Amino acid sequence: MTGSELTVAGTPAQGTLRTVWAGIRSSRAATIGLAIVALHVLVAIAAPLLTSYAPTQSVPAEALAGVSWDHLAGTDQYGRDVLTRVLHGGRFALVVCALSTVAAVGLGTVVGCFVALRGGWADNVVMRLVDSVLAVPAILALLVVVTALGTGTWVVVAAITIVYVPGVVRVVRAAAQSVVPLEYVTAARARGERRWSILRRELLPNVADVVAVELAMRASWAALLVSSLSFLGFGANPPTPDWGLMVAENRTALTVVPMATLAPIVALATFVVGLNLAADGLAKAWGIDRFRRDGR
Amino acid sequence: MERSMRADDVLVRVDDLSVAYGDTTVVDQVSFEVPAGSTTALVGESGSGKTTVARTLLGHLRAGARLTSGRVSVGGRDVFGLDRAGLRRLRSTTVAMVPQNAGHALTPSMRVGRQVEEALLAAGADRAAARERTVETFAQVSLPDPDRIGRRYPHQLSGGQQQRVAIALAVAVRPKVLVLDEPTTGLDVITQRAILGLLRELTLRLGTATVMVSHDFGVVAALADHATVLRAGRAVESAPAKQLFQEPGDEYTRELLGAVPRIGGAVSRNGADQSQRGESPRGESLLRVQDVRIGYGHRERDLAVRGASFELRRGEVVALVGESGSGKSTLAWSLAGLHGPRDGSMRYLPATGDGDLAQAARRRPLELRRRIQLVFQNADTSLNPRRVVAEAVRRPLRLFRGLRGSELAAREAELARDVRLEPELLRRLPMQLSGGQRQRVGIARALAGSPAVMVADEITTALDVSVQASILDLLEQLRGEHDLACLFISHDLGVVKRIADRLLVMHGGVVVEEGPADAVFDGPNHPYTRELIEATLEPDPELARASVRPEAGGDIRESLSAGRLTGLRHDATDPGVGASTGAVVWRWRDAGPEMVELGDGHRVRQWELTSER
Amino acid sequence: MTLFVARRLGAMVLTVVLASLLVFVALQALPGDVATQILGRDATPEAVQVLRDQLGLDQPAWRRYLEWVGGAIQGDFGTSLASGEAVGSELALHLRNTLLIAVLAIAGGLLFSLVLGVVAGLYRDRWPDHLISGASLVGMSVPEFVVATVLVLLFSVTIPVFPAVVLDDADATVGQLLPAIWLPALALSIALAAYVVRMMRASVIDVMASEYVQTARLRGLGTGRVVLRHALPNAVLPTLNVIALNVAWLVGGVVVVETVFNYPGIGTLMIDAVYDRDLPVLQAIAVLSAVVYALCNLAADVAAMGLNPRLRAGGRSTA
Repeated sequence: MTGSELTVAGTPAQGTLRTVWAGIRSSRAATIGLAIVALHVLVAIAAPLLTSYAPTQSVPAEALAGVSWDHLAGTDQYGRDVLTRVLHGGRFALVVCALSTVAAVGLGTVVGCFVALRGGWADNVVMRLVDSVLAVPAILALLVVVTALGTGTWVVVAAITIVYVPGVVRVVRAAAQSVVPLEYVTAARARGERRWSILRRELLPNVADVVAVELAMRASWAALLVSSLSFLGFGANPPTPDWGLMVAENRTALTVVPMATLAPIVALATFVVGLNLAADGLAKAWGIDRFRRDGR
Repeated sequence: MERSMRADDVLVRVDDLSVAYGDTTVVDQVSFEVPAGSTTALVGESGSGKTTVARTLLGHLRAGARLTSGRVSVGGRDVFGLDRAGLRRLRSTTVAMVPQNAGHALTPSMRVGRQVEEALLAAGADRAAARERTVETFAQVSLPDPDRIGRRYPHQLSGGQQQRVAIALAVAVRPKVLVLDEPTTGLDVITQRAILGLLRELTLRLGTATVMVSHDFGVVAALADHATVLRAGRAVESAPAKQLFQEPGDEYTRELLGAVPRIGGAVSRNGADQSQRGESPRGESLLRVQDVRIGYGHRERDLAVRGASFELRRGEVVALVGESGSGKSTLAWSLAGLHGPRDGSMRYLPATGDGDLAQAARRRPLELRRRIQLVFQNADTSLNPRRVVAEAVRRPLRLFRGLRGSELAAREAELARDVRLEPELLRRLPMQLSGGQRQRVGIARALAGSPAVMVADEITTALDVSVQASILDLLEQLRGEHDLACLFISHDLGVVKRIADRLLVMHGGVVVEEGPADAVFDGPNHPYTRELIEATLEPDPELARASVRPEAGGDIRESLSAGRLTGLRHDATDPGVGASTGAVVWRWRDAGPEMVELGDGHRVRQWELTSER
Repeated sequence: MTLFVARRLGAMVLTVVLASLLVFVALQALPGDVATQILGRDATPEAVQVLRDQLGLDQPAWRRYLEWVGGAIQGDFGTSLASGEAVGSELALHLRNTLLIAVLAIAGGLLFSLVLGVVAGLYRDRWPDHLISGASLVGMSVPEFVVATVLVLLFSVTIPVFPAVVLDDADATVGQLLPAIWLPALALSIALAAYVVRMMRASVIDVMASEYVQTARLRGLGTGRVVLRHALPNAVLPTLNVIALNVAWLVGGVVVVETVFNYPGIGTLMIDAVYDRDLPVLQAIAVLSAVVYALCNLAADVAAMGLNPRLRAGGRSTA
C-alpha cells in the first residue's frame, strides 16, 4: 500500500500559496490562461508605448475609415483609431475587475469559512442574507446601486464587491463545510484552539484550491459584468476607451466598419477566455467540480 | 437451468494472470481454479490485488489497467476474448457479483424490485416470469415481506436488507459463478453473521463456483473451502481452508494469522501481561462519569447516550464496545469536550479545580484540556493534508507546554521515538506516510500534551491486521511507559479481548454490561453481549462455520435456563409459559436502569423477555 | 412531503421579503435626499417638495416600506415617475413581451444544453467532448451583448432574415412582435446553455463513475439502459438547483439583450427607469426578479422531489 499511496496523483503541497502555485504549474490550461491574462495586463499598462495615436484624439475627417495601414482596425465615427482604443480599452475593466474580485473573494472567503466553522444561528442568518442578495441578478443589482449612487469607478467597484460576496460565501462555505468535520479540525477544537486560529491554520490551506478557482472565475464574471455595464452606458464614461462602451458606440456602424465592433469584442473575449482557462485548468488539476455548485 | 453437476466440474480457471496499471504490476502471475459447488477465497491486505483479480472474472479492468499475461476462463469461455455482446451475455447470465457496499451499489432512484427484474430481463426472462422470480428470490434471501419489499427504494432499507437485495440481484439469474467482493465489510457483526449464513446456504444450494474477496480471516473461515493468500499481487500460498488455518505453509500467512485478534482459546501475545493485569492493584480513579445523557436534539428520541456511568482508573484500559449507533463514539466526543452532555456529571478527579468535563474544550482550563486527549479512527483525515506532520505534534507542544526553539525540536524528536517513528518522517506530508505511520503520528499528537487519559476512538478499524497488531502493541507499551489510562472504543471484540482490562458494552445508548474483561468474556452475560461474542468470527473454519449456521445462537430461553445469561428482571414472569413455541421467536428488551451485581465490578443491566412472531 | 414544501415556501417568502428590503434600502434609505437626487442639484425647492409629497418622503423610511409592501401585495406598485402611469400595468405589458423571448430561450436552451452536456459527459475526453466543451468555454467568455451583436451581424447584416432592431412599442400585438423574438431568444439561450452544458457534463461524468452505474454494467445491462435508467435521473438531480439559478439570472441577460435589439420588454423598461431615476419602476422590477428567483428554486425543488425518492419521504432514511 505504501507504494501506491506515494504515487497518488497530486500530492498536496504545503501551505496556502504553494498549493496554488503547484496547481498552476501542473496544468497546461491554467498556464496558458494566465499567460493570456498577463499579456492583457501588460498591454493595458504599456498601451501608450504601443501606438502613435492618443485614444481620445478625434479626427472627424477620417471618421469611419476602413481597415488600412494607418488604422489597422479602422476608425470610429469620431475618427479615433480603433486599435489604439482597443489597446487602452482594457484599463478600466481590468482595474475594476481586479479590485472588486479580490475584495469580494477575500471577504467572502473569511465569512464563508467562519460560518461553516461557527454553524448555528450565525450560519442561518448569513445564509438567508446571502440568498436574498443572490435573488436579484447581478446586473440588476448594479443598476439599482448606480441609480442610487451614480457611476463613479469606486461606486462600481464597491457595488460589484457587494453583489459578488454572497456567491463567494456560498461556495467557500460549502467547501469549508466538507473540511470542518474532518478529524484534524476536530483535533484542533478538542485542543481548545481559538476559532480564528483554526480558520487560518486548518481551514484556509484546505480551501485554498477552491478559493483560487473562485478568484479566476469571479474575475471572468466581473469582466463580463463591467463590460455589460459600460455597454449599457453606466460603466466607463465617454470618451474613455473601454471595450464594452466601444461596442455600444460602434455597433451602429456595424455595416460600415465591422472591425470597429469586432476588435473590442475579440479583446474582451480573449481576456475572459484566459480567465476561464485558468479557472478550468486549476479546477481540473485539483479535482474541484467547477460547475456542480451554485452561487454566481 | 438444470445441469449436471460433478464436483470436478471446473467453472473458473484463472491461469498465469498478470495485470499492470501504468508501469506497475498489480497482479503477478496468479493462477487458481474453482469447481462448481465450491468457494475459493482471495485473501490479502489492502493493495494485494485481490479485488482486481476477482473483477477479471467479469471481464472488468479498472480504467488504465491492462492484461499483460494469462487468461481467465469462466464457464469454459475466455473472458477477455469475448466481444462486447458476448461479454454482456456472460455478465447477465453466467457470472454475477455481490458488491462490497450495497448502499452505494444499488441505484438510488430505482425501486429495488425493478432492479432485480431488470437483471432478469437482461438474462432473457419475459416480464411476467421476471416479476415472479423477483419475489421468489427476495423470499430466498429472507427479506421480510417479499411480495411488497420490491416497491421500496434502496434508502428505505437497512444496511443488512440492502446487502440482501444485492445478493438477490446476483443470484436471481441463477449464475454459475458468483463473485463476492468483501460482501460483509461495513456491516455490524450480528448482521454480518446473518448475511454470511445466507451466502453459505445459497452457494451450497445453487452449487455455484464462488470466488470471494476478503481481508478478514474470520469471514474467510466461515465461507471458503479453499483460500489463496495474495501479497502485492502475488499468490504466496494456496491451500484448502482447513489446512491454511491450521498449518499455514508460508511465513507471510503465518504472520497474518498471528496478527488476527481472537476471542477464545488462544491467549493474547503478552501472556505475562495478561495475568499481571488481572492481579494488579487498581490505581487511583481518574475519571468519573455519572448518569450522563447526551443528545443531538431536544427530544427524548434524539438522545444518543441515555444514562451512562463508569469510572476509569490510572493505568487501566477500559474498552467501550458496541455496534454503530450504540452511542459509544458520542460518549468519547463528549469526554473530549466536543459535544456537551445534556445532564449527568463527568469529572476529571485529580484536577486542581473542579475538573468538570461537561464544559466545552474551549472553556476548560489549559491544564485540564491537556489531560484528556483524543486519538481518531481515520488516519487519513486526522492530519491536515497541507501541513508537514511535525506541525501536528508541534502545535500541542506549543499550546500546552509553551515549548519553543530547540526545546521544541528535542521534545518533538522524543515523541517520535516514543511512538516508534523515525524522526525524519515528521518532515513529510501525511500523504507520504503509510496508514500505520499516520496513526502513530496521531498518537504522538495526543501524547504531546502529556495526558493522563487517552480516548482512542476505533483507532485500528481502518488498518490492515498486521498494522493493527503493531498499533495495539504500541498502545500496550505506552500505557506502561506513561502510566496512561485509556478508554478504548471499538466494535471488534477480538481487538478488545487483547487489550482491555475492563469492558463496557453499550447498546442503544445505555451500558448493558460492564466488568473485568475476562469475567465478561467467560461469565454469564447480558443477552446482547452474548450475541456479540457469538457473532464474532474466529479465524478457524470449524468455529466460524458453526457461528454462521442458521440455528447458531439458539433460543434465548434455552441459554437462560442453561444458566448462561443473567439480568432477567426477577419480578418479570416468563411470558412464554404455556405459550405454544412453534414460530415464536424470543427476544430481549431493556428493562430499566437497575444493574444486577455479580461481584468484582461485574454488572449486568436488567432486561426482560418478549416474544415475536 | 407537505412539510418539505411548506418549509420551502416559507424560505421563498422570506427571501423575497429580504431582497425587497435590501432594494428598498439601497434606493431610498441611503444618505441624501431622494427627491434632490432624482431631480438634480439645480431643481427648484418647489419641485423638490412636490416630488417629496408624491413619494411620501416626509414619512419615516420603515413606514414607506410597509406601505409599499402593502400596496405591492394588492398589485399596486405605485405610479411611474416618468410616465405617470400605474407601474403594475406597465410592468404587466412588458412582462408579457419578455416572457415571449424568455420562455423560448429557456425551453430551447435547456433542451439543447442538456443533450449536449450528456453527450460531452459520455464521450469524456474524446472529440465530441472537446468540441462541446470548447464551444461552451467560448460561450461563457462572451457577454450577452456580444452574442447579440454577433447574431445581428450574421442574421441581420450578412444574411438579412431577422430584424436587427424592434421598432414596435410595448403594446404591440404578439403577432407584430413575432418576427422579432427569435434573435433575442437565441442570444439568451446561448448564454444559458454555456453553463448548463458544463454542469451537466460534470455531473454525468460523476454519475457514470459511481458504484451503482459500474455494478449495473457488471450485471450485463446494455449501455443505453444503464445511461437512461441508472445514470441520467441521478445526474440531473444535482444540477437542478444550478439550472434554476441560471434560469433566474436570465433576467439579467434580458436587460442587456433587449437593449441590443431595442425589444420592448422588462429589460428596456428597466434601462429607461435607470435613466429617468424612476424609483417605483426599478423597485418593482427588482422585486419581480426576486420572485422569479424564488419560483425557479421552488420548481427545482419540486423537480428534485420527482427524481429523488429520498425527498418524497414515506420512508425512513438510513444514515
